[in-house]
Amino acid sequence: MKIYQHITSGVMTMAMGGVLLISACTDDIKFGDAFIEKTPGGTVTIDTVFSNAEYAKQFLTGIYALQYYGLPYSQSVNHSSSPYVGKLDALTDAYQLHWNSNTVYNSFYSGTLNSNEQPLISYSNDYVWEAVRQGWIFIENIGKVDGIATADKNNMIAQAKCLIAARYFDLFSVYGGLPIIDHAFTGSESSFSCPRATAEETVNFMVKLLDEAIPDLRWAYNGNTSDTDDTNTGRWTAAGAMALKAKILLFSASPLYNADQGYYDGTTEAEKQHLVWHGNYDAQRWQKALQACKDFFNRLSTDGFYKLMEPTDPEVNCKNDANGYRQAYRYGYIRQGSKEVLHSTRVATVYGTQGTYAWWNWVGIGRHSYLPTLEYMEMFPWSDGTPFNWEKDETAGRINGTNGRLFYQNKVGRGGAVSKIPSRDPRLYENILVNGTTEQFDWNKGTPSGNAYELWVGGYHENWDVMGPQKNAETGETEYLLQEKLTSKYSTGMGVIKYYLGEEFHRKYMHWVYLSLDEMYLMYAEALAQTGDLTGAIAQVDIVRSRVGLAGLAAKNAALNLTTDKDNLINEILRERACELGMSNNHYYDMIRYKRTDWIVKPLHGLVTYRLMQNSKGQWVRNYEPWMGTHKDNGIAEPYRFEYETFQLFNRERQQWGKDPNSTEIKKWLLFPLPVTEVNKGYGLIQNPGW
Amino acid sequence: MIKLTAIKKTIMPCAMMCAMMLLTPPFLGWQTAQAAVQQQKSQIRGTVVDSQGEPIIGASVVIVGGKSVQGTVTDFDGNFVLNVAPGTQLKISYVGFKETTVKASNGMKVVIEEESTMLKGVEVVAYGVQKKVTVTGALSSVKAEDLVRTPIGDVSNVLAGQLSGVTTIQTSGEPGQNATNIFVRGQGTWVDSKPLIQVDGVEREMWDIDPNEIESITVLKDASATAVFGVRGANGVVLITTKRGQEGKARVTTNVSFSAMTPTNLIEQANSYEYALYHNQATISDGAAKGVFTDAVIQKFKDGSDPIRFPNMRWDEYIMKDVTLQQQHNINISGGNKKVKYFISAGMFTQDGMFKEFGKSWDYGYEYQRFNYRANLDMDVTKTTKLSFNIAGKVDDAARPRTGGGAAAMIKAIYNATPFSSPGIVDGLYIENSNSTADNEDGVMLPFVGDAPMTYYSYQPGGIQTNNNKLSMDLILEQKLDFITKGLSFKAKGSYNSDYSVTKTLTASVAKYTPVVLAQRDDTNAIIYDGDGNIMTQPMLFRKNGSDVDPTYAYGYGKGRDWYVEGSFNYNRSFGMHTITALALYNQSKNYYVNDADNAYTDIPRTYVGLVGRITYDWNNRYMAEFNIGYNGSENFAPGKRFGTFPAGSIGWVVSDESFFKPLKNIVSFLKLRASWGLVGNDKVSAKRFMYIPDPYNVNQNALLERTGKDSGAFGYNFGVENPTTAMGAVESAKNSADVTWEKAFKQDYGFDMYFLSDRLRTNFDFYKEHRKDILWQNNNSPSLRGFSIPYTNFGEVDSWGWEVSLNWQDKIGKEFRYWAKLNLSYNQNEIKIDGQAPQTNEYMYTKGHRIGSRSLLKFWKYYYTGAEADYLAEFGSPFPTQLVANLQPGDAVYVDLDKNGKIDGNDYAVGQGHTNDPEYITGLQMGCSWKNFTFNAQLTAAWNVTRVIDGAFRTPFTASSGQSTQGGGLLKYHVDHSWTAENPSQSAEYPRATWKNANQNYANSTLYEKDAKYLRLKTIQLAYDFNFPFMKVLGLNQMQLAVSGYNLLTFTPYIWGDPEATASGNPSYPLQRTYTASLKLGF
Repeated sequence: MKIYQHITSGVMTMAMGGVLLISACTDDIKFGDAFIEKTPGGTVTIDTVFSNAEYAKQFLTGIYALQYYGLPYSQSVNHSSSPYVGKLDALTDAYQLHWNSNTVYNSFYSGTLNSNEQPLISYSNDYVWEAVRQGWIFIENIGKVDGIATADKNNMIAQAKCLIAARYFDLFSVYGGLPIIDHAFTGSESSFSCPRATAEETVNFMVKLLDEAIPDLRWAYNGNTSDTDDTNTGRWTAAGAMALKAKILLFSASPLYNADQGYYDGTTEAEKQHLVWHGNYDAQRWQKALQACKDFFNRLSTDGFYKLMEPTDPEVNCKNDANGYRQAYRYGYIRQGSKEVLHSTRVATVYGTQGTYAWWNWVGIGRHSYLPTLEYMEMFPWSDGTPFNWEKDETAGRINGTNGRLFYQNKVGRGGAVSKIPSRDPRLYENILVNGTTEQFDWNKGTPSGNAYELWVGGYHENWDVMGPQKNAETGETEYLLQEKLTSKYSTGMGVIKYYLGEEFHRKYMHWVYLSLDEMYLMYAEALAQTGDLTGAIAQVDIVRSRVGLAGLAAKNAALNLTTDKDNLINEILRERACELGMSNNHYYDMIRYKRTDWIVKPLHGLVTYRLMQNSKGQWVRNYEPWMGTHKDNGIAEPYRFEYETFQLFNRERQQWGKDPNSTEIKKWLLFPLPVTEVNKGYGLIQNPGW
Repeated sequence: MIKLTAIKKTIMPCAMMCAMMLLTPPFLGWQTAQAAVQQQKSQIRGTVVDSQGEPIIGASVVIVGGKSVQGTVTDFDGNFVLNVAPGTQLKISYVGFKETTVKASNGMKVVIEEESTMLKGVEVVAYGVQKKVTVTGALSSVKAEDLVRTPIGDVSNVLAGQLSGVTTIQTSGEPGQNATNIFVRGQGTWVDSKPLIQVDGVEREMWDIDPNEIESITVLKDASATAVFGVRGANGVVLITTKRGQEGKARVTTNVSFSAMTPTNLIEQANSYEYALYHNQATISDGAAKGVFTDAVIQKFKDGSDPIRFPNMRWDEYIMKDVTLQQQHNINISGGNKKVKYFISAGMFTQDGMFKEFGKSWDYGYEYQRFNYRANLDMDVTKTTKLSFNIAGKVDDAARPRTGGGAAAMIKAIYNATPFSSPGIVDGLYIENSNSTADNEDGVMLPFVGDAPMTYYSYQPGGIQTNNNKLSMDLILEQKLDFITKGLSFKAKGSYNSDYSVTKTLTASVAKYTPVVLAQRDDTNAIIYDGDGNIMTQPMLFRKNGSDVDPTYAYGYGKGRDWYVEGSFNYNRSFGMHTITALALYNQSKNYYVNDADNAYTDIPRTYVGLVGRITYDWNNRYMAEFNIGYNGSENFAPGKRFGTFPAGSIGWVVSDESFFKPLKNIVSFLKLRASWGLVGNDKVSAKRFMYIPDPYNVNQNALLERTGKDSGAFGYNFGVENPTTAMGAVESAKNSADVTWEKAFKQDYGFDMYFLSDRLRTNFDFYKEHRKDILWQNNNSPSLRGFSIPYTNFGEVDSWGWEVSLNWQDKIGKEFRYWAKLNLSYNQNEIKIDGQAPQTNEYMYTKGHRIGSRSLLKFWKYYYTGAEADYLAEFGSPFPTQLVANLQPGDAVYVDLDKNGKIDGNDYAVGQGHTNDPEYITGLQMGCSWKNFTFNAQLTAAWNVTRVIDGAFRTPFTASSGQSTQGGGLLKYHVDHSWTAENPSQSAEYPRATWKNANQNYANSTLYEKDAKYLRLKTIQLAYDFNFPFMKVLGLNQMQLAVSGYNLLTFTPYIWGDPEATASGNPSYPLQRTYTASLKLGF
């Protein structure tokens, strides 16, 4: 370079006059390599980050940003967060998604998913491996940083280990055993050999990370000391880590893994190598899960802080009545300050200021139409805890007729005002938006007000989502035909309310509950039941039930002999989990953990609601008009009597419906397919059975 | 209103032209004054003719040896009058003819000979010019007159077919948007195959230039011609040279043209009646008892009795104008004396948008206006020093609607709309229909409304107006250094470009009106029926929603700045039969405000340096050899890897000059063989920069994931309880490879130029091969659990090859009739050798081994019919596979199970079953003739082995903005007429049975939707007449040409989804334009 530098520089300076004056007045005059030399100044490298306490802390924060968030919120982030993919809950019998531009609708319901497509949580595109890498980079480098006390470093390392373990669990729960990555790749590896570990090894890897982390973590960010300042809520705590450990061990002990035979047909390589099950049934696995639960509750009894939110808690500030129970349940999951939340993940601060949060916005416009099914609605007992049963309750006149009270017992008071007394489990109203629920339920006071949702055919909100009018050409009569519209909020006759809450939730802080205390009670119950302590299990379930005013499980289900019939009790615990833990992925996890392929093949149903009006002859006849608007303005009394019918969902029946639940064609759905491109890369990934 | 604006736009430029012409009399006055002075000398009259005896019009006759330039030009009969003493030396010159010096005598007849194009002609090459005969590289060029036959805004649109080896694909006709992809010899890499485009030796954009300013365009194709560019020479180089002044009197040329434009090919949508019937039919074929359109509604559509609530709109016709106006005007003056030569040009180009503005007071219908100016000056400062100065620029204004998706969003909205969603604007009210019972109390209502297409009018009304101001300057100094050694010269050049843009965004709102038909009611609020039992209705009401709000404005600014300098020594000397030239050149450039992929280094200008060497040798113009070398540095690579060396060599042999060739000379008048080999480089992969630096980390990231996603640096996190403060995050943002270096292309070219029959037929042929290696790309074979983004490394490989032929025929019949024809035919093929595609299950799923841009599609077999299973088994020997959906109906598309695993899945997509978006064959035929004062020219262009995949509303019936819908969505007439139906169960139908239930099956990506897009089009046609009125002499006019021309007039193609070059997908393009033009050219 030197040579032509000499040649050129002399002549150049002589000749370039005019233009150089214009152009180069801001630059030094340089030639050759020196001209190019200008490279990015102040580039931050790994050395910069880990020689500065502030940047090192930021690096840990950056890993938190890579956590799993259970609600689709943005299409431009990772795979599972995209509204065009969809949410695990929509694969269960509890929800049917009514929007057609997503993977749930186009690949799962249609049965066309294959290993070239990414399922709902992506093996390669969900930031899992990025988080694992960043976690190991942090653990490997934090030692170099000056200015952070050793105890704090240990705490930070412990947090990083929890972050790694949690990301592993996010994939393990839907894929089974995974390659074990226990260090950060340098990038200059000539080849990668990372075979899939067995399910057991994967579990042990996660549990080991958590066991190492727990002693170094704070129990809670309770606000009591500057160290445990509640501006740190959301960081991993010992409570969270212990709960995650229990959850992993419970998963590991569940029939999918812990059984006498693999879930598929035993012939597949993944089963033979014990990648998707443990190879045997071992009761010790349930004991381990039980012990993890016990450890948690022992620590809770000494360290305190976490509790189920009750109506009478000062934060909730309600009474022990139907509204109070609703408010306590709502407070428990939605508030960042809830003492029930053991770990939460966040992707934004508040709704409303950041209009891109797709979960809330798209529920509002009907795209996130995760519509509760009739089957889900039926899981919720009556308000006293008595189980709901359509046939029995219909016969007994509790659904239709004068005393019909499917959701509310309506009484007409003076001047036509209708008082609506909720007749079901308070959690139903917090999970399912039903006919008669009011549009407002005060954020601070927990009192209902405003107009009721009109979900009857022709009602203000239903707006022909479920059924629509059509004029019969021959008779000239208007007929009402089932429509079950797509991209609409109430096509099953009900709507979604959990994590949505309508205008109530606008401009409020938000998070998604990753682990919670009510889940912990129900895990404990399950572990107790599986290890033979049925009475003890029922006691744990009843803790959760009593928070919402439901009477004891055993007493209300006498016919099921829950104190002696383990299978019935497990079923009840799973039902209770579905009611308590809506939109938390847990019902999907339960479906695969317990190999409940019967849930997969079961055709699902919706609810048709008719408004009844008395005609001049005093007969109750169906009316297809909204009340809000003309009727209300003209003084027509608020409707208080309805007629309910059910219908089988038909706008995209799931291809799995009606098939044999024990066929391999159905059983393959218990675990997601690994991406075929990754399998083909030949580093040791073996495909899951059936894909 | 529309008319008013049209008049406004017509009058303005006319007035401008008049004003410019007023400036010309001083020049005329100057001429007459000079003539008066020379009256004392004797008057010499003479005629200039060519070897055929044809008078030469406009030849310059200059007195040799005068103190200043004195002379004249010949008139229409080739005559000139000059006041000089007899015997004075006169120099006669005319472009394309040999310069002749004769002694003046009255009544003289000067015969000038046509220049032999072979010997005197020069070609523009990299960093200079070369004698045409000694050029050994592969290049092709086109002259000014072929570019301006028909007015166009962007000269790239007429290049295809003019130049062999050049492929263009014009995907959009949007005014002011450069939407033409240019490839030189096809694509050599899948990453970025754009050629380097230089204007006057500096990288600039082609579409900024007024075609009237262009002298020639040369395309350099092989290594020998491009190696010296090093940087991005690999994709070929397009050199645009602007006009310069010639010694002689001031010549003024004006061009005025007015064009009418219409869209080339719009595909018709179904009308409301057809829509309703087709929708019902599709509903029933999906298993419903009956469709949702009732007889009453269908009747309304049929009789049109309620055109507000049951309209039948053909939206493209409603929204788009039938014809819009385009104008192009240019005036340029050139001339000079011995010392100073100048070329000054001012041009104006306007295009009206084809979208109606419906009486709104602001412009948003895609208007485009551009004003170009240029002054090129050459000064001989001393006998050995020449200084050139160019200044050029453009100012443009574009107004377009605020759609959020460009022009595509407007076209998309049209094709996603239903014909009955709205009657448009009625009595000034924008109406959108409703299907609520409350609004339609007569009981007849639409089952659904669907999308309305006037989104640009009603959804985000307003507009985006951009104003661009570009300025570029070149300063060139040439110094002869004969005092050091004869033939040596030095040249220095500096260029500066800057641009500045303002974007004005207008936000307004428009009220919508919903038609409401209420029933008549009695006192008890009961509906009143007439005698026949029909509901009595009240007159239609319109419910207003929203309000009309005039626009508010927001501004955005953009800027750009770059400079370039070069210094070079040239050597050119002949020693007897030996001629040697040499060039040594250094250059460097800096581009400020570069937008890079990560937006990480916008503050750092992009820099390049290059050192170029060239030596050419020829012996008697017969044996030629040339060696080039480029040595280039790029900021993208680490020191040590930064500089790339790109050598190339070529040889040539003019066989026809050999004595043994003599016997053949009567037939083959010229034959040259050429060959070249060389290495060319590329340093760029998309907009990535500094690919070698240590892995960068980002700190102080405070955005949250929900906002922007990981790749935009959102690594903040919100800890705490209702804590408004976001904790900042840090992260490893990329992984780099320090080893990255230049991408290299080894190119070979073998060709010959052969002229027959005294050069009347000229042919050129080239065969070429290219091997591109070390293509910078991400190797996707790396497992995703590594956890970092794959760094760019040098590993890709592509082979490409092809051939080009051009034939050129010129002749005349009799004295009056000349005719010519020029045919180009180019073929290009390429094959991906290594592209790092992640491993696939089946061999046919790999892109390697296929042409760049090959598609991965399911293979369509037939439409399903009863008994198809047996036929499938018989044909493929494997059982009928499970298709994408469970319940196939007759008329559903059936796909072939390529891997024979019994089901159609992701492993049945095969790559490269058809062709690609860029044609393999492209040909152009230019032909013309002249007879007396008439001149006729036409250019035909054809392309084949090209396919396009249709998508969106063009593939799937009932596609709305949110995807296929049972409750709306657009429908093509073509769908109605060419789908498989139970009544017409044809295997040759273009579309399968219309369905929602089996949409996943029928509208999957398959060969069914890959359509042949070959075409033959009449690109330009022109008929010109040169007037020769007596008054012209009085006015000093020496040329007055009136021409009518057309652009894109006729297209023959089997492709029916719009123009074969446009996109028919989810993002359809602005229709290409057909143009009819009348233009007037005046020369003074």
